[in-house]
Amino acid sequence: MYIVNLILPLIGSIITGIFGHKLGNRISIKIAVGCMMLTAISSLYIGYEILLCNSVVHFKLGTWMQVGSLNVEYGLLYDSLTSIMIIVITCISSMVHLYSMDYMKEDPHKTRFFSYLSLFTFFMMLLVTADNFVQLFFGWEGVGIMSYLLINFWYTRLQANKSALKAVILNRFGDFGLFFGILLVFLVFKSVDFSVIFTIAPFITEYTINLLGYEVNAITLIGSFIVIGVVGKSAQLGLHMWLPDAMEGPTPVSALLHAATMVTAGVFLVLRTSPLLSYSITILNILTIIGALTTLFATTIGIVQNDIKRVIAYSTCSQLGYMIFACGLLNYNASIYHLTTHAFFKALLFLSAGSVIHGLNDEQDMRKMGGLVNLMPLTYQCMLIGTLALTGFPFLSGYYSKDIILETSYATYYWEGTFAAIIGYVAAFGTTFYSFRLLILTFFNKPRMQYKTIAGVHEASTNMVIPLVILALCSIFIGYVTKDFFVGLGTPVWNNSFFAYPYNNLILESEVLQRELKLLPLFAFIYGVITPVLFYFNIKEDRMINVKQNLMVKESYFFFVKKWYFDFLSRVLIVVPFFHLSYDVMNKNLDKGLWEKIGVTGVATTLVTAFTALKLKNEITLSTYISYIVQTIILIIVVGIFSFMTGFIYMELCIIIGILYICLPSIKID
Amino acid sequence: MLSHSQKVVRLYRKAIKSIRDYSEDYDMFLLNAGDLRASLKAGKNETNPFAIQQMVKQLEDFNSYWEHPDPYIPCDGINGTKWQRNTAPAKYAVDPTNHLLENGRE
Repeated sequence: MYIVNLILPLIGSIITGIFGHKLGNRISIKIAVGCMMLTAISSLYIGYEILLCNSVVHFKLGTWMQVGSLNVEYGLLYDSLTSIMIIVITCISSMVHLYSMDYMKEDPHKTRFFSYLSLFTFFMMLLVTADNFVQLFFGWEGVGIMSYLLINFWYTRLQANKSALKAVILNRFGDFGLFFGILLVFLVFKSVDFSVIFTIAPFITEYTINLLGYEVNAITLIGSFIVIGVVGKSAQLGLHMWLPDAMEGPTPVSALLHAATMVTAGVFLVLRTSPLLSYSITILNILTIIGALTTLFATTIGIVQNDIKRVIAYSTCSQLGYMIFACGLLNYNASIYHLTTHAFFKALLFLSAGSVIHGLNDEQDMRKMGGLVNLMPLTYQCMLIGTLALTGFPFLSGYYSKDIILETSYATYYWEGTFAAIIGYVAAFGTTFYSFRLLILTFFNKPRMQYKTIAGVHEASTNMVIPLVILALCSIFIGYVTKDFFVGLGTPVWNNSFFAYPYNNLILESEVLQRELKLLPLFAFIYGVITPVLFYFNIKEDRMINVKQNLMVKESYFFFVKKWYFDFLSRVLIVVPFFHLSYDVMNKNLDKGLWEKIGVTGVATTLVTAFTALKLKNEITLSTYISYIVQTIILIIVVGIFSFMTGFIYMELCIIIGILYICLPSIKID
Repeated sequence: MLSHSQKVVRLYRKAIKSIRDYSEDYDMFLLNAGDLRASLKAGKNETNPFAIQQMVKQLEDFNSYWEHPDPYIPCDGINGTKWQRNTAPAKYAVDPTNHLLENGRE
């Protein structure tokens, strides 16, 4: 069951990818979707066995490599964390597969698309089921490369090529961090197995590594490299630039990779390595601050974006920030709870956005939408449910998961927690604002698209509607149904899946917070709804007022639209100097230049240049030639005599002087 | 070299596009575009070259001030979201004999 669950997506991918052209589009795609459905069903069964029956499964499949003390084995670890992750991954993936059947109907390369989707799911499952760091890294790299292939699915688009390269290069920084982290783990623990590492971790909290003369705590050093990996994969502040650009891929890709599953790999890594990272307060504080800043940053940018997918992408970035800072505050179960609910409602939002884009003939700019509420009622309802769930409308899934993060953050009673909580409350308002702005610009007001576009608007087809409805139901109920399961006091689900600090009473502390604080998210929601409604329905008399009234407003707007100038700064400070260094300095002068200057090419070029310069010109008369011949004969005699007198010690010097004597008069200086 | 009318028309079109980029409401776009058109119409019969130069300068300033950092690009247009999507491959990539027949040269 467990192995079948893992390899079914791989089988689907191979059949679709390699035999797709033999079997035909329809059959191969149905096989891929069927494999994915079966995987989802088996994941639910595995979830039942592990979560409800409380039977953790861990088994080895064989030896991968054995070099000295390095012993890596193929092993699968199905604990509570893994089973939650595979349920999320496979359920969302099967919905996305089903949705893509109709969404990608017109595309000539749809078999390749399904093959990539299934292969991505396989790598993601490999990542979450790994029982050692090397296997996890294999899955990690796999999802990175599949992300590249899926963003670059329309590979004829230059913009898609650029975005995919950006994604893979920025992810490479994160991979580098994780790779170094794994090397350090092996250096310190002499093992890459999670069970070994997490057992030893409490006993080596004082262990230090000498780094450039400084004694650095080993766990902090390992943690700092792992955090780089997390920042890269989960698009946190600093390495986030790839996520909005990744929207170049088809919308189902955005829903699967860049909302529900792949970007949560970073959060999963934090959760998986929490028995190690939790022993370093520095790392936890870094996680908290990075997560909180990402939340704020992404929210401010999301408010002014005009591309419907980019708004949702920044929303994803912001919600990932919530998950990361919850981890930083040792609130791991709230983090995985938000990860689960977020996966469902964000997939719903993306797929609804895809339905809108599909209906509007691939128009993505919200400035050219509007008035779709009566034309696409079902999509509107799904989008509304997704929006309400995201913004924390009472009793929908986001309400429970986001509230618990905010309350417990405030209940930590130290400044990082308060800092994160305040930013979280502000971001909750911002999230509601841009979500309702999206809703209003897309579905309300007068239509702003062309006549031929609005004439062709249609509701999504059956295969697209079924996933929307299922995800909408999940977005409504999953938070309420699983609240006690995930974050209930004394819940027995998690066991040793992640670190549990015995004196961590955050949930209990949050119960006794002031009543006003508990109402803050609700106020943030109400103000977040009222502000865009007033903004977009009641200011038609004022001209150009909603853009910029003065220079400060204009500059702020530019600052946010230009994404805090992160792309600009990274280009100016990193890309251009490195490009200059690598091409102009290293490549031109060293790699290529050495050959051109002192190597074979250099000698050849120098000789050709020299002899071209030495070439005797045609206009020289016969008498000149005769004089050269005579001079040469005299020179040879003189050199011979001189060499004989000096015992042939300076013969070479004499020959050179002689040649120069002959040649110099004939060199033409331009 | 552009004639005066060509220059004004191009500036006007650019200004209209800037207003469109900022307008998230169609009524507001119409109001602002109407304002701009009225201001241009008001100077239609101007004959003083210095005044005309001044008005063109004003329009240029308007454009440079209101240039949108994230302008709207039609999805089918250059660099739009559908631009270059699944472009057909070159003929010789599909049929190797085609490039010999095409225009009688390789």
